[in-house]
Amino acid sequence: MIARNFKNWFLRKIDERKRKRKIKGHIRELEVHRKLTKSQKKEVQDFYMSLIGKKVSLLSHEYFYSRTGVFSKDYVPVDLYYSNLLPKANKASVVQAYRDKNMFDIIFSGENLPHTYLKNRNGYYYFEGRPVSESEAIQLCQNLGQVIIKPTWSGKGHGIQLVDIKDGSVKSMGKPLIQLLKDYKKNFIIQACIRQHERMSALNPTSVNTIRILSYRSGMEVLIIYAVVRIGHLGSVVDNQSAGGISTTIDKDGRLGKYSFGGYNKDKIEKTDTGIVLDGYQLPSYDKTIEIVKRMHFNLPYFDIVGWDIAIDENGIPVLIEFNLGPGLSQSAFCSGMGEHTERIIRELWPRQNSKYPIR
Amino acid sequence: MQKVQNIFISLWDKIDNVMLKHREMKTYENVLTGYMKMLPDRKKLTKAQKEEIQHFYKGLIGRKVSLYSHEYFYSRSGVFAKEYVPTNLYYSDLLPKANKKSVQVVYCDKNMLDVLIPDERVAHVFLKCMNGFYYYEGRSVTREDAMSLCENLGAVIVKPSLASKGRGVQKLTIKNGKVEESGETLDQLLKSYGKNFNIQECIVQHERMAALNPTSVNTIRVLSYRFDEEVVIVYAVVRIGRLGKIIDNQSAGGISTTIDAEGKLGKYAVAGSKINNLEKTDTGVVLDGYQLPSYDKAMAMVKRMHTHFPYSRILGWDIAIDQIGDPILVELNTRPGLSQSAFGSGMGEYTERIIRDLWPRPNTKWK
Repeated sequence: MIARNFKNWFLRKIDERKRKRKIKGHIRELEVHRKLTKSQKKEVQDFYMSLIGKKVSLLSHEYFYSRTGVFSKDYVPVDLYYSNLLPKANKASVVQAYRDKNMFDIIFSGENLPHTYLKNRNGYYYFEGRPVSESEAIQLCQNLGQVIIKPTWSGKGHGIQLVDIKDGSVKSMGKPLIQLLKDYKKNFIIQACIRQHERMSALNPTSVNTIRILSYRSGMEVLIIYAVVRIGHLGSVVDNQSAGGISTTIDKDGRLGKYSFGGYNKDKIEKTDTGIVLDGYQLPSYDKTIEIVKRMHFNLPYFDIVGWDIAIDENGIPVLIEFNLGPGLSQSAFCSGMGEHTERIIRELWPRQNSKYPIR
Repeated sequence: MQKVQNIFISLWDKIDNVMLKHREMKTYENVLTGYMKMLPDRKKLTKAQKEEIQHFYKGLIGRKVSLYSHEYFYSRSGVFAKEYVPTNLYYSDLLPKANKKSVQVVYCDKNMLDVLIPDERVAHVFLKCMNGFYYYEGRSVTREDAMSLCENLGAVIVKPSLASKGRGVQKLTIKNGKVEESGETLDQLLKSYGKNFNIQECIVQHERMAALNPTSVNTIRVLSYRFDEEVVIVYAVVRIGRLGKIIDNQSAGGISTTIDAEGKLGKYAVAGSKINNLEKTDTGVVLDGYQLPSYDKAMAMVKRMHTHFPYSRILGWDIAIDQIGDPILVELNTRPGLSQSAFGSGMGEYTERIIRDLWPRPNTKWK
C-alpha cells in the first residue's frame, strides 16, 4: 500500500513536471515576455493558499499574462488542472471507454448527431448500427459521396479527412475504398458531412467551425465555464488549434469577442482568413446550443468537466460533433482560468479523491 | 534525465505487473486448493494423466500449467478431462486477452445495459443511480423527484449496479414511500445502496422455469465466445435458486445443471463448492431430460447481442424466460466463470480452438 501510494505520488509529480516544462518552452517562444511583480505573485499565492492550502507554480500565470496582457489571479496553473483537478472531476478508469467516438450515438441516442454510416469497432464493422462483414461494408459504402472519416480513439483532429466515395473508390486520393478502410485499421467512423449555417461557414468555408463549450456539473446544476468558437485555417478541414485554427471568445448573447488567438504564440488576430471582422459578430442559435449542452451533460454521470464541440447546421439546429473528457481551458482566449466559477469549482473539487493517482 | 526517468518508470511498471500478476494467480490457486480440502473424496491424478495434460498445454501455450484445477474438478465431477482450464490461467491470462480491460467498466455496469443494446429485451429499469446521480426512465432527476416518482412502484428488484454474484439484490415492495418488508423509508433504502444501483421490474417467469423454484428468477446462464467470423455458445447451464431464496447465484447456494443442445437438462446438478450429484430441485422436479422453454430463442438472442460488444470476446449472459416464452436479458457478465464442475470440461469442444485464438493476443491487464 505504501509503495503504491508512493508510486502514484511519484507519477503525479512527473506528470506535473512535464506540464511545467512544456509551459516553459512556450514562454521561450513568446515575443513579449512580461514578468510578474512581487505584489502580483503574492496575490496569486494568497488566492491558492486559501483554496488548496499550498503554493502553486507561477509559470502559467506568467505565460498567460505575457500573451494576453491581462493579469488575473484566476488563471489556473496547467499542471494543477491536468494532474489534479481533471482527475478529481472525471473518473479516470471510465474515461477510456467513453472517449470512443463510436459510442457517442449510443450514449446520446435521441440527440442531434451527424448521421453515421459505417463504424469499425475493434475490427468489426457496423453499418447504420447493424453488424456487417467487411465485404458487405464495402458494398454498402460504394456510393456514399462526400463523407468524413475519422479515427475513433484519437484527439486534436488527427486523421480526420473529407473524402468523396464513388463507385467503390476514393475520388480525391484515387485509391479503392478497401485501401482507405485498411489504412484506418481497426477503429474509425464514417459520417455524413455537416452543412453548416451560412453565418458559421462565412467564418471559414473549408472547415466545420464549431462552438466549443466547457461545462461543469455540480449536482443538478450545469455551469458553463466558457464558450469559444473555433475557426479553421483557410483550406483546412478541421478547426483544431493544433491545425492552425484560431479561437475567439463568445459572450452571453452569442457575440464574438474582439481578438482571436491561434497556436501558442499567434495573438490578437482581428479578422478571420476570409476577412470577416470578429468583434460583435453574431453566432446563430447560441442559446439553443447552451440548452442542449446542459441537457447532454446529465447523460455523463462520471464526468464533471466536459468539453463540447457543437456545429450549427443549415437550419440553425445544433449538432454534437464531439465531446472531450480532458478539455483544455483556453485561458489565452479567455484571460482567466474558469472565469467567475474558478473559486467555486476548485473548492468543490479539491477534497475529492484523485482518480488517476489515488492515494489512500 | 528524462530518459533515465522513463526507463525507471517502465522498469517499475514491469516489476509491479509481474509481481501483481503472480500474486493474483496464486490467489486463484489458493481459493481452489482451499475448496479441495473440504471435498469428501479427493482423487489424485495418475502420472499418465498428468503427462497428458502437460502435453496438451505445452502444445497450446508453450509451457506447463499448475494442476490443482484438474485435480479439483476431477475429484468433484469424477470425470477426467485434459480440457479443464486452470482458473488462474483463465482469469489472469485468457480473460484479459479476450476482453479489452479499459472499456469493460462500461459493459459490466448494469445501468448501461439498456443504453448499449436498446433493440433487445432487457429487464426494465425504473430508477438508476449512477455515481450518485438519479435517472428515472432514462431522464435525469433530482433525488427528491426520484423519491416521489418511486413512491408507489409495488414489487421491485433493487440491485447494486457494479457488484456481482447477486450481492445486495433484494426483492421489495414499495408502497406510499415505504418498504413493506422492512418498514424502512425509501430515503433510507436509497441511502443504504450508496452511489451505484438500480430499481427494476420483477420478472414474471415462464411456468416451466418457475416450477424449478418459484421464489427465485431462474436464469439460463450462457457463455458465448466471439471468433472473428462467428459467435459460438461455449456452454449453457440453468441456475436454480434454493427454496425461499430470491437469487439463483451459486454463491447463494443456487444449483446449476447443464443444458444440452435441444434445451433439455442434464442428469445432475452441482451446488456451491462441494455439493454434487443432486438429482432433484428443492421443489421435487427431476432434472434429467426436463425441457426448458424457448431455449433456441434465447441462444439466438445471445448470438445477436454479442455482436454489439466488439471489445469483448468472452461474455456471460443471464437470460430469464418470461410468461409468454420470450427471453429477457437480466445481466451481462464481463468476467464470467467457467462452470467447469457442472460441465466436466473447461470450454468443451472449443477449448483448444479458443486458447489458440487468444494466446497470441496482448494481455490488456498485465502488460
